[in-house]
Amino acid sequence: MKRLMIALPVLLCAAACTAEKFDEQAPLSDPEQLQAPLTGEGFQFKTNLFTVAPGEERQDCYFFKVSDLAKSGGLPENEPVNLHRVRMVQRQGSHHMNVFRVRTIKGLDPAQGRVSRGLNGQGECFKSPNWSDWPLVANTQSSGELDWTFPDGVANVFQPDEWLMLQTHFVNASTQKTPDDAEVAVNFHTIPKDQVQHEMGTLFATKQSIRVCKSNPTPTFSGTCQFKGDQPVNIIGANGHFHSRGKEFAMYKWDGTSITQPPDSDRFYQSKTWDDPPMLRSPNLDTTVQPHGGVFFTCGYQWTPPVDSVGCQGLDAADKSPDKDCCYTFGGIVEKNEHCNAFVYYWPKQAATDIACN
Amino acid sequence: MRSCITGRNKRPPTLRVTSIYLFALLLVGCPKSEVSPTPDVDAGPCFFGDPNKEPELELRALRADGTDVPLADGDDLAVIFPPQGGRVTFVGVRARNLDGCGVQLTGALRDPVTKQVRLDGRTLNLRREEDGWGTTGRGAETDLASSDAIGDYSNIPLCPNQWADRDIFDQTFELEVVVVDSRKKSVSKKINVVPRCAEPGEKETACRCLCKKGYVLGESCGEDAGVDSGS
Repeated sequence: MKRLMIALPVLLCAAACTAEKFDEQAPLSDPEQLQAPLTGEGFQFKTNLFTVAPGEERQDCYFFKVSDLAKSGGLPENEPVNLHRVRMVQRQGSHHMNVFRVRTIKGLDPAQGRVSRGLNGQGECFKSPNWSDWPLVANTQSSGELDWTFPDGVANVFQPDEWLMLQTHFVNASTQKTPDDAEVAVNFHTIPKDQVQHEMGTLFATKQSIRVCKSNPTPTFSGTCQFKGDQPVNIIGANGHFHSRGKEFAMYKWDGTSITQPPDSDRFYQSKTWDDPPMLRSPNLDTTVQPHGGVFFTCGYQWTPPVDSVGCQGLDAADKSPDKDCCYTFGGIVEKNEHCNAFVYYWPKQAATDIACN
Repeated sequence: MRSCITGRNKRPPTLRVTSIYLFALLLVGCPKSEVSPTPDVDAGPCFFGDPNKEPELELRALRADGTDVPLADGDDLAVIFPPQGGRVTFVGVRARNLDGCGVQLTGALRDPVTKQVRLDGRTLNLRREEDGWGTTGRGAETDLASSDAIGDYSNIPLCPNQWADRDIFDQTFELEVVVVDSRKKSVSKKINVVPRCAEPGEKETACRCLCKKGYVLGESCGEDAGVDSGS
């Protein structure tokens, strides 16, 4: 019996260590395979398995309180959490997965339930104004695993009384398929407070009054967003999001005062693959923006005929403009709508706040 | 799709020119137009005005009730609650002597002290008006928060104010608008405007909160959730 008591922890440790070693070598495709961080070094949060029926788009918002997550990972529940490495694994069919900090409560409220489910464009989890001032924490659009360790000394810091919102979006339609059940798992790996030298900030910028129309088939939309600070900013992560009419998503370093598109030499992000956009991150992405500068982003589109199940009639029905022209307008339904969302991660955080540009 | 070849031509186009026009139409479509004065055939079916003259530009803007009004130096500029939340201003144009198909419209509002600027650029088709000018639109529905007609205006995102070192209301800012047509003919105009929180009641209160100097993201301004618009 004594021998067994000694052997059991060893076996558990061996299994855990084996899993950690395996995780570092090969990207995961199954959230069930993602091992939680070691006790006292972080925590895991995830969804249950759920089904996305053919023809459905399901977007769900899950709420987690930081102190609860910290406690689950063996961290002090009343102290800040210093996120230094994020791992996210999602099953095939994911359109995107975002994690936000909860700020102004509108139609989405953790007090009304820990999950708010949306189906085919309906539900509070599809209403972007509900999280218009919720700072981004992490995002990915790729099936499988995203594993990102921030630069030494950089951490995204969360207070124990904060809420996080995990938003999943799975599509089982013409443009994207969810062949099996859907599921998402997220690991937050932390560092002690005394190792935090710089706080990370995030920037979320979006163009929402967009139209991709038959009579204006190749539009480009551009926008800007400042970091607003007196010190240089280091961009260490970037991701652009649009739908299947999207042809090129680009982000540039910007001086904060010019209104013309910066030169190609200042471009730090480019995506030409709408359904598998690059999630650029350090150490491969590490570029500096001068004080008072920001990000200039562009979304270029090519109009294509809608899928048969939607048709121009379906697009026109969703278009609130009096001029019906078979236009894709802003929204979350991949078959009918378009997006133009820029996600940028940087340090140091400016003026103790994240940034949103609507 | 409505045809944008209307009226009579001053000179009969050759078969070759006609073919080019038809091919161009297939490629780029045509502006949403009404029956209009005949364009110069040498300029193409999307051209507004005289191709031999310099482009002309007049500025327009949407009011909170959705009406499209002229915008002159020193005018108030409505700061409005859009579908996406926050606050924007909607700036449009009247223009002529340029190609109205696929113009690139850029609107920018600049803090005159710091020179920091917020901008919105977009490709759109100008509409042919009866007087031969092209316009970005004729206004939107009264409920701007549920109108897609605002997509034909430059949506300059102003608030939350994380960029200007002054309140973005009741003070003078610089508005710059640039229009570039598909032939790279360019015209621009710069005027001073005074942004005003233009919707009364709770929306005005929220506007003055979101647009104030030093606003911190997440600071509650009592905003409502707007409309369905996706993730």
